Amino acid sequence: MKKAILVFLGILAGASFLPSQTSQPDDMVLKAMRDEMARSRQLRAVGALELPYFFSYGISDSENTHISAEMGSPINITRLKVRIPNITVRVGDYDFDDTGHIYSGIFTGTRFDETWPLDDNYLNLRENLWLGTDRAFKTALESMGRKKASMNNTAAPAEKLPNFSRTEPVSEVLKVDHKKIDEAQWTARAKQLSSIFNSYPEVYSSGLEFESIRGATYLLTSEGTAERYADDLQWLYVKASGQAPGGMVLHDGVSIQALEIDQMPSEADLRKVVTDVAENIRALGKAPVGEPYTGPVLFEPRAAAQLFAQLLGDNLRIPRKPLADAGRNVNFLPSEYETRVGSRVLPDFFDVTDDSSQTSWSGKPLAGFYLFDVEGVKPQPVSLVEKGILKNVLMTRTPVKNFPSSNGHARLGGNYGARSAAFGNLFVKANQSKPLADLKKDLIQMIQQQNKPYGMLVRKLDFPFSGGSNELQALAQASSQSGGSARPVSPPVLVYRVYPDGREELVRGLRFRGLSTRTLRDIMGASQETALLDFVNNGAPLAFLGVGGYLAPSSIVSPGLLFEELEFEPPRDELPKEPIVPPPSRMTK
Amino acid sequence: MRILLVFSLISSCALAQAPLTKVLVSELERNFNTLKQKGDPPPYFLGYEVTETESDQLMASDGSIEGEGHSHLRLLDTTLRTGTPKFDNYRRVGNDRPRFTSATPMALDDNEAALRQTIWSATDRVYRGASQRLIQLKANDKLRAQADDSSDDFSAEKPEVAYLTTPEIKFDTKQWTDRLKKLSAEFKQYPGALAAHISVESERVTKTLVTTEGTRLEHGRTFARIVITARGKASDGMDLSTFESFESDDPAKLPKDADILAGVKRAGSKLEALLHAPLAEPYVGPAILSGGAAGVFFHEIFGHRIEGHRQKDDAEGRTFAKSVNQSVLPDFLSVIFDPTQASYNNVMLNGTYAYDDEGVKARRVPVVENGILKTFLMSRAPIDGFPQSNGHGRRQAGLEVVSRQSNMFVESSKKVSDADLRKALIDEVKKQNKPYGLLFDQVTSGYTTTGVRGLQAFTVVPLTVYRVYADGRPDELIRGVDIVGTPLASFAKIMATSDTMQVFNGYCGAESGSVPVAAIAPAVLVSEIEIQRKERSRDTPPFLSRPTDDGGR
Repeated sequence: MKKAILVFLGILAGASFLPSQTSQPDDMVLKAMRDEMARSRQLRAVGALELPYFFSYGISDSENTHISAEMGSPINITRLKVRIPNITVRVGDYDFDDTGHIYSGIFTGTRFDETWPLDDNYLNLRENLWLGTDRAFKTALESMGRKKASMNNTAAPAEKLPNFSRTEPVSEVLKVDHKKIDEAQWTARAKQLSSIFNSYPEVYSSGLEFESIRGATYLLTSEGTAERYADDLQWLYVKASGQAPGGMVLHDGVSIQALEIDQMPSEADLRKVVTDVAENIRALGKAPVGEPYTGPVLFEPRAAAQLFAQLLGDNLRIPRKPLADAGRNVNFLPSEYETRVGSRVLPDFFDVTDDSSQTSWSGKPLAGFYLFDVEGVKPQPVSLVEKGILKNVLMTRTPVKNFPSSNGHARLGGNYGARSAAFGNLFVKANQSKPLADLKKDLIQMIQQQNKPYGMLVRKLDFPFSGGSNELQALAQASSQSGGSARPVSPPVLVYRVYPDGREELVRGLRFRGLSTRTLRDIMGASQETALLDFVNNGAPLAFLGVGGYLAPSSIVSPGLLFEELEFEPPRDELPKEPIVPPPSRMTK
Repeated sequence: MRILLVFSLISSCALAQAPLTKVLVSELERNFNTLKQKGDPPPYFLGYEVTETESDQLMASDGSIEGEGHSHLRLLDTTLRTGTPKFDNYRRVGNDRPRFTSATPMALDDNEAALRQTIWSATDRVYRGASQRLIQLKANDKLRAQADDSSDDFSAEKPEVAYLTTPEIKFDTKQWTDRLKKLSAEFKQYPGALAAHISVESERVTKTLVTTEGTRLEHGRTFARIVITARGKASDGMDLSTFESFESDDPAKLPKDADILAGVKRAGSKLEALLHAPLAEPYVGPAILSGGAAGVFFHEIFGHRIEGHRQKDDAEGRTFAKSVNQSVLPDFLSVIFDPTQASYNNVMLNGTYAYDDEGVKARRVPVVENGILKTFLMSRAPIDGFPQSNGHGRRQAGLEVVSRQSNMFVESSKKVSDADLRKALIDEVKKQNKPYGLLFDQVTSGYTTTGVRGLQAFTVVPLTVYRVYADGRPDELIRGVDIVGTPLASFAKIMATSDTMQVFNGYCGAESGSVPVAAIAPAVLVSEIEIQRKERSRDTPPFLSRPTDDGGR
């Protein structure tokens, strides 16, 4: 589950389900890891000022197939075999080690272990482990030196939190099997699906990416953890954009993922999902521009899941601020829930749990299932919110205030020597609910009472975000300026005016204003109907694609939501002119 | 002595346009005509270049494969010019280097709908950038002082039409896998090499270029290379490396295993010797640069300075801008750039091409004749006194064209045998009362600061350097050498050259990205060269010894 080299080349923080079995014998990789780690304990003798107390060897193997297509044609088809190491050494002790400083993990020396043997040559593996351990040890020494230097001139922090929590070692060396993927079939499918956009001249640009990662992950630690397991992901992502009359840029996308290739939807279902994106661009181009609005808003279950994925996902983990020199500005985004443990974060009829040991829900596979997190800890089911009160957070082995231990949710890369927590399978449950149709009636009743001409209904958010990085930046800026979160919430793609007679009218060009986790406290109602959403969390805001690195496929189940009051605003950005030359699809032949 | 070879890129002439070319031309006309009518400002020129690359790579170390890849990509670059050739959107002002194009991936099959959509979308994007910049330039023009160089922004050239076939090449992955595993196992004999690799790459690049002036070009090249690198760290922390490479225009023509193995052994044994060699001391005195070293030397300190675009650039040092028809090198030296030569003495040349990236036909360009500077390397961006391109406008896909080097030939009329050159070095060492002279055997590319802000200095990275003693002692390898000096001063000090030319093939990186180049030069005797000790990494070699098969110590 390592840092990736290429865009779209990601390594997983998950695992496919395998029936539990007794541990398999070591293969050459594990043997080399065990032997070199045993020898590396000699580094204590060399340590002088600082002694190593923890060694961790991780290796992520994968075979990746990447197919990208546009308008029925292949753009790029790549097959790649990679082996990516993650070797860490910690010096000091669990209470105080080299991590948690702004310079933790930075190595200024020469690296000799950049490429690794792809086969099982024992001696070559040992040599790379030797060079990698040496580098990791030197990195830890350097980081510790800088940390101590900073602390020399800063007052001791009020809370003394250990840097690393203890955990029970886990030994599970599992058989690794991969289902074969039919590359020819998926290439044909990618071309076929991307050609759906050819019938939509309103779509100016579109693209489809398919990625199949067949991986095996190894982890060995000096505490006695030894793991090997299969780590697969199949992922299809489609996006399209167009331009409405007047210049507004429209875009939409959809992301389909599954741990196993035979869990991917059928061709017919994929066609439907891709066609929906094209239809959305078409419909949005014809829709009127939305007006500023403050009032009741109904989220259908899928949109609610998308909302929770962002608001809860970003905030149910508590990153620790790194140490730095006094007065130095540190680029750090805290969790909005850091100060709210024990307080009400949702209405009292809500419970939120994470259970990453579940493989399916209501007959559908759950993408957020995984055997071990990136620190080798088994995910425990966590009761995060009980009757609206925040009880627990997603934890890694980096302790935070009130939470001294990991609950196996270290899934993403993180910073400053620590990993970042993320959910696996998140379940948002409303203990009071009514049919969605009744919630819609409630919405209408509220707007009538408030003398509003219409209410608003959200069917789909732009998540994962299908726009460009410039737009993402503009969103982040606007969000913090409008009193919302410093982390923006994605704008809606499908948002409707709901008239008193029940009629729905699609509008375009709105985004949320002032939406943050605080808003969740004012949910008025939840629907009986629920939706299951899955997506691939890569740690980027709005699950923005195109960023390589750790990948954490995740699932969330949520009911629909009725909010008493939310705000929508049209963006105040300049609109680009429409192209002077009409698109080729509009050419008369 | 140079051997002229038949220009071998044309193996056959295709008489019809490829489907891609037809679609490019059709979209070119459609977009240009509409933009001319409705665009304000309207374009006066539009051109598309598609670079299609199919490549294979394999890398091995110590008997194991460490990397393999195959890729096939088609990238589109768009050049759109608004205003007039005298004043258009490409005009450089101050430090601002305009970039409108970005390599846009295109459909790999010839699906017309997909191709058209990509071309149209890229053209729209480039038009917006181009028109906006022109408007800004015109607005600011009134506020600026008159530039020193009042030449036009775009030269007039005749359109070219040629449909050349680029040969197909086969890369036998299975065979190369077996070979690299065997060859790389040899590195185990050199424990000082902490990271040592052998890699093979093979690529076929085809370019399609169409413009509104009527240029229609299909051409390309094939290339294969073996690269051997060995890196280690001396006990005092200094990083050392050695390098060997073999190039060809076809992977099937790369050397046999025996020759490659000899290269592995050279790289390995030289690295081991370097790890234990004495440190270089700062030194000023006479030296011989071998042909390969001299080639890099000339490429860096001379070649970059005669790239045309630098003569007009406010931000550049413009060393030679005012030196046309003056002596810039000793009178026995001439420097010629010739992209039409495919090889020299049966060694493939990396800087060969039939047409540059603006569609201008490649040609032989004598830049220095008997020490006198005659011209610069020119793209279609004119400079004072040089209104035409000479076929040196080049780029890596995704970047804007600037003038770049091709195959550089350094010719000498003061040639002596290698043995006599060495004798001359020793004579000079004695004359200058130095304890030794230097011999630069192998170097790799350096960097040059030609800008006004930086010091006008160059640094070439020597890999293997020897002290040559006047008293007959054997040559002594030293480590940690950096060549320094100021460009103009170095040239005056070339005393003589050998009569044998060596080829250095490489890639040059500059403003328009990485382009393949070659330098063909004799060994050179310099009366004075200055070296300093290389800055070294401060971290130590690994604390523990290398693991062994028995489980290690």
